[in-house]
Amino acid sequence: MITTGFLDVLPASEEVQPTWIDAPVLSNVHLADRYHRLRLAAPLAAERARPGQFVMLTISSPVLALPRPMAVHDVDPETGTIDIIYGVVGVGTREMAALRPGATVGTLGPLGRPFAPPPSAPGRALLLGRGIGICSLSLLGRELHAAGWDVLVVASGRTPQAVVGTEELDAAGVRVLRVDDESGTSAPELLRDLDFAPTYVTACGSARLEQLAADHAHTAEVQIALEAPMACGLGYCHGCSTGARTAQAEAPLVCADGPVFRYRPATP
Amino acid sequence: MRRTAVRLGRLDLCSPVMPASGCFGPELRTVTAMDRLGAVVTKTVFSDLRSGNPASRLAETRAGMLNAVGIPSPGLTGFRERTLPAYRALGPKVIVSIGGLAVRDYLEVAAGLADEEFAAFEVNVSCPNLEHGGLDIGTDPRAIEAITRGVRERGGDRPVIVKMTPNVTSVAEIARAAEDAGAEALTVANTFVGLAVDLDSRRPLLGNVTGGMSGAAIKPLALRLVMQASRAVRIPVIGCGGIGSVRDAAEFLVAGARAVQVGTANFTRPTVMSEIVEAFPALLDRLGARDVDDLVGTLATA
Repeated sequence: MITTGFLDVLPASEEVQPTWIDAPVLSNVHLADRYHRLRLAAPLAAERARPGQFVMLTISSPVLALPRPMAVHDVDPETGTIDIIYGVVGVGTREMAALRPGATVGTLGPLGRPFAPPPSAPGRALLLGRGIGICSLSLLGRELHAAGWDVLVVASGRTPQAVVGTEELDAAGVRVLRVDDESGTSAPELLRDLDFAPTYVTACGSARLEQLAADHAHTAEVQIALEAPMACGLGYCHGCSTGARTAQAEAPLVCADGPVFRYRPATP
Repeated sequence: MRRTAVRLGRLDLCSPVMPASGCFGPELRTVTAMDRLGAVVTKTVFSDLRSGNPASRLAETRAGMLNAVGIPSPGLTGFRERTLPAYRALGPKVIVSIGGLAVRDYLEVAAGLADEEFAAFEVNVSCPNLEHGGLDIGTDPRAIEAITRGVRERGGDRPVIVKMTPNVTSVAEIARAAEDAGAEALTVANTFVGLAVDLDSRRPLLGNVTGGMSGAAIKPLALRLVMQASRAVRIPVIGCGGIGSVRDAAEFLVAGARAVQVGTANFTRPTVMSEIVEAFPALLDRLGARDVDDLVGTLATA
């Protein structure tokens, strides 16, 4: 997580109304590298999810105690489905990758405060994502584009294959710049000079991209989506404190105060 | 009277099922039904604002988890103005969990809440994540007596439930100290102190180094404590530790509990408590029990 400046809590625009459902798995396919895509039948979540929000997924298992927070990558309110892209990184996501149609996944959501684009006339939005962090920006990129914004998504990964979750953006006509470590195109100094002059910058999935976003804070609204292990997802367990700098007694929670925060530089 | 009704001293509950402190909140109101819970239990409140422990605060373990949240608290003012009204709006009776770092802190919170409307105090003398208070207090019979007596005297003559630490050699001695001081019931137990290690960095996974272990993995440990505590005292015991199904709940009753608290399972499945309540009558039928009391302490060990 970025350690310079402050992460301010965005105002709650509308009360979050999460629901719980044993959501049937409709499909669960391997994409590339360590990444898989899960489609769940969760009509209320599909209807209510806003860009940047997440769901808590409980996989029925004798060894897992906690659900996994996952960004909502895509929704189809008409068919009542939500899509999650996840990377297999531990015991929970390994079990998730073994799910087949017919199984159900306990699904709590939508959760958290969504992205809050500046209410100005459409401007230029720079969306910086890495790994599954790209998926937190997927709905936002399409929504801004549809609203008339000039949108540039930078999708970063370790290898070209590890850049996933961009096809919906492509299909919607959103400009996507794919960069990766293998070719060296993901280096921050290269991404600093994009000749784009954004008025709204978001980042998710890497501290380097968060810093890159923060560098725009004197000329643009900057919002950062954090990730953290969670237990409740709703705010009552206080397990996902950001540890961010704040004047409040307790640092904000990633789940209920975030996951999207407004970045404010230390020097105005 | 409902077959699931239970009485804990002066406390009449419509069901033996309630959440464990810290593992529940009013935020769940759109997610699950609460009207048939025996009670709701608040997160532990301290007299002052507390920020809690640094990140990381959670670590999943096999069939369980460690937490080192460290009880962030809105303080008495915030609790009275915001937290308590939100709990009271949920419907079930409210049990307020109170904490402190020293005996006098507990009495201050109790006095500060004496005029509020709620059903009972649960005295948390067993959080393993506090700077220097909880665990030591919970292992000292004299401190337990002073807190129990003091909260009874200053807290508006309400039932006082003492939430016991499992991190002691003899749970019976502590249980008797609470009973002698006038506790209405005991909650057995809180989390077990544990450690999770990140092998690559050779650092603890939790910011506080150690944390409290909960979840299905501790159920046998908690069952043993419930049996021992309930056999040492005449006051009722509320079983707590790894309960995630109606069968788990009934096992605690058989071991000696008269009610149960559900903690970590609320994270796994936020609807679990209402599902347990719903499944109770059918399980009572299957076990040939007329009501919940019919099961309590029926473990045959002879």
